[in-house]
Amino acid sequence: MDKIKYKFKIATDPFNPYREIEKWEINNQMAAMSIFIGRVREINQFGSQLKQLEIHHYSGLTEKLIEKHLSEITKKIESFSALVIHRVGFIDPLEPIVLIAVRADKRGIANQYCSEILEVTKFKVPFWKKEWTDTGSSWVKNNTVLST
Amino acid sequence: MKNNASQIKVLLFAELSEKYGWDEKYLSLDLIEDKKAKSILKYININVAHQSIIVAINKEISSLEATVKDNDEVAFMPIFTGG
Repeated sequence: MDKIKYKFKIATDPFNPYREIEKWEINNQMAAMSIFIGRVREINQFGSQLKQLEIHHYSGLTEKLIEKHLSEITKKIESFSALVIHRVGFIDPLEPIVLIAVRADKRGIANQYCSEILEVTKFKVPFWKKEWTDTGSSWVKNNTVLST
Repeated sequence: MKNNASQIKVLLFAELSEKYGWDEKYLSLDLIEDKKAKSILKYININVAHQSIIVAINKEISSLEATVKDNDEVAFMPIFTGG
């Protein structure tokens, strides 16, 4: 039986990334796994205390673009499987926004595609962030760039 | 009116939707002379820099130069900021 190579889910409620990985791992054991868990920052883009983050998406297109990207990876890399979960709606500081777990038979592949999929969720698919503080709200204009 | 064959569905998202006060409209394509996405944007009075707009037609990423057909869904979106 063919293994399911990838799973993408929009989460409208809080999720436990470790529980999700555990469930995913049952049928997807390989030698290497890379995980990225992104959480809501406590400070907004202007340095103020963040009350909540609101995430919007384009239902239908968001799923389609991520799944297309994951599908393209599976055509190139046989020993690859991925779990991607992205929150939408209102999220409290330090709650998970995004989970990316990539399994492969080599650490290099797992690391590379975990990072690549994250950049895709940031720049290539329709998600938008709005930051709420005690004094109002503001849309995030530019995403953070990849840095060390 | 939704079933009128000469109409298109126009969607705005996120900051655009908030700024202009709507997220979905039906328009007659007859009102758009060259049928291009950029002309729809002008018709609905969205005044933002073209480089800061992403266009999707029928849930496919497209461009402002693309031609729209009857019954298409045309979405205008700000730059993506997810992840």
